[in-house]
Amino acid sequence: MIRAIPTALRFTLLDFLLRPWGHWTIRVPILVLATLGILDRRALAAPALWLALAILTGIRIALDWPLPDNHAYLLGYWCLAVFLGLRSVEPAAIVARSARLLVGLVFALAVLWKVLSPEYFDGRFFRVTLLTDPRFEQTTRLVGGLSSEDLVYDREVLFAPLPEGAELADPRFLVEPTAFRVLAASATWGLFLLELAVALAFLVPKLGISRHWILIGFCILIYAVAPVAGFGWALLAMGLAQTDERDRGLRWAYVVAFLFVLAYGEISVAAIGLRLLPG
Amino acid sequence: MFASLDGGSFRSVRAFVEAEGRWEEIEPDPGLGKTLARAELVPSDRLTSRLARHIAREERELGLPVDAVRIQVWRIEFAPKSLAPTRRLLRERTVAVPPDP
Repeated sequence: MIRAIPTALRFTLLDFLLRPWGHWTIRVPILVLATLGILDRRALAAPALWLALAILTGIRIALDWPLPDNHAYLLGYWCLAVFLGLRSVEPAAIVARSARLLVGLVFALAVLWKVLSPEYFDGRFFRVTLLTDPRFEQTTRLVGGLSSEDLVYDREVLFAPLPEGAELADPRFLVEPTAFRVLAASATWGLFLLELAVALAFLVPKLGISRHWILIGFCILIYAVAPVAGFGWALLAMGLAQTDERDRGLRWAYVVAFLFVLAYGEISVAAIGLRLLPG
Repeated sequence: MFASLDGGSFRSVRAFVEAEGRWEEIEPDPGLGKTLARAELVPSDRLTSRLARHIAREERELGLPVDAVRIQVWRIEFAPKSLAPTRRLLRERTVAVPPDP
């Protein structure tokens, strides 16, 4: 039987173990603590372990500031929330409530950032990202219809900026097939609406949106394209921590989603699609 | 999460060294790693000065004269429709280097 809180905590420790980061002086104690927590049930439920993980994560963020990615910050907050929850009189309820607020705030802030960013809704963000970020190369080729040569050419154009106010006598235009424009527009609006739905589902429970299925769907869909496994696992751990002990099916769905995200980190869905395509 | 193009991929640092009355652009040593990346992401007085001092130290270790180091942090911006890229200077800072004792 899968129990909600212990499995959610193990997901978190697996996140630390599968995506280790930081200087070795931080990384080694984190790996040791994570291994102890996975192997020993008492260590897993010990507030001290979670406080130590929160402190180590915080030290790493401070030492590397401003370079750590958002995933490190989220894990730090989550470990601190678990520590506080385990010290409380109602550990399961407090951990679950913290998890709900953290997931809701992560997505609400992601939505806010998009609203404030002048280059998101006019499509620039995804047009440039899909053309230049190597993590999206296979998807851009598979769905956007660009060849490897088109991508090389487009990157040459995008990474050859002119000084402000200057113009080329013979301007170079990007290769952007219609399928690519549709992909960029779909990604822009699809991601925004999905993130908005997750934020509302977690922050406004009265709306009655099934927050768990939205989060699971988000992770299975988005991390197939954007392989940021560490972030996905942290979100799934926080989602699982909020499940009802009676809802076995939902907890298994979280486990399956965790395994999907694990697999996405090792194999590219788009690369498989490209291989299956004729020619 | 996936909202802005103002990240490390579209920023760059140019470094110039002044010695004996003339400025020369140099290629920052990749060994500067995090110091360079920090100044690129947050081009504050503190982080750009730190990068400048590192560069000055490295130049002197190579036996080269340094009177000042200038750091420029640039960003690539893309036009809304054509995505035509232009380079914009975000920050420039010149740090005078005291002579060797």
